Amino acid sequence: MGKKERKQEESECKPNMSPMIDCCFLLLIFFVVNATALTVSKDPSVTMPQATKPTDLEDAKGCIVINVFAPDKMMELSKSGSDQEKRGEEARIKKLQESYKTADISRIHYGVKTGKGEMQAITDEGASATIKKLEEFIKAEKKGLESTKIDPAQIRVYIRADARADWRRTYYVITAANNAGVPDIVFGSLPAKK
Amino acid sequence: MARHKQIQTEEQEDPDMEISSMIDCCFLLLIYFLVATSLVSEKKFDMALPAGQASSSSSDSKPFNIKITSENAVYYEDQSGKKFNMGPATDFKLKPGQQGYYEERDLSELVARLKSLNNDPNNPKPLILTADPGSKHQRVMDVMSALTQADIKAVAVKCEAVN
Repeated sequence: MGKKERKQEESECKPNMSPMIDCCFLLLIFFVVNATALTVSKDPSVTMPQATKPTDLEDAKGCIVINVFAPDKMMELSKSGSDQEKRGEEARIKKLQESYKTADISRIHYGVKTGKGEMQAITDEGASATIKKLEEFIKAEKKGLESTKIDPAQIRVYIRADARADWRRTYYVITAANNAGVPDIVFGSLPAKK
Repeated sequence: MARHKQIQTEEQEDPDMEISSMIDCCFLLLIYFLVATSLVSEKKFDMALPAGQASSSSSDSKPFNIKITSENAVYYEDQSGKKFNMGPATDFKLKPGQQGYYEERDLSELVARLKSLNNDPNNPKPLILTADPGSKHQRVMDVMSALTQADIKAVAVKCEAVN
């Protein structure tokens, strides 16, 4: 009798693994999500350009992200492209319409995330007006970042320009960043495949 | 007889599922997928851009020019003003089945030429990249890629009509 009881106790001593695993998975997922939240706010409507030997963005802190879209190209391809292109562009257009809450995307040339977390579209209204708008945004963001603990040297403009966007659009951002006193510019890109 | 009974109880305990190995597998798979997805993550591209518009004429030496036309053709202009075609015009069309602009837009000729400049990092020769307002961002990135391949870390950019 006594022997039998002991045996039962021994088998009960086995640790129950499943809750531990649950915990582990939860922790893992938490850290993964946390890590991705740290990276720059990416807009999937941008077709990233490619570059050879791009480097990792080690720290997304202090990045003022400016998305540059190519709405005309997106609309053109959604009508005249191949089936695959049409599907891809339609999805991108839909995403743009959702995030900027407007049906007309033809005038969304830049997309930025304001300090309040709202998506804001900036339209291209000629060189000087556009540069001025972008400059104001960068200045406001810079001020916001400076009030936090971020090292001022870390403040930089991160340009996520569509590969097919006209160069002048990117150039406006570069000029605006210079005017706003943020000379440090980083281009977002994908590594080129061969 | 007593022995026989013991064996039976052991057999009864055996059907317990061995979870730990399954978890090991799961973790491995998870980590594999994590690594696989992070391989295609976005990267950054550094290039120092000494204030675009203020291309000061402080240096006496004439600058080297790289020009991109509105058709995305790339030209290199040496100090004597001679023009060389480095890259053909392209319209960046996606080929069927392509996810991104992965086709090789080779500017190796430009890389070779830039390398032959023998740029001293402490005393860089002035280099100006002029792109047409209508040229595509990808072509500018191509040229900047070529510059990094040639170990050039800074370039002045301009935006004006190129013919």
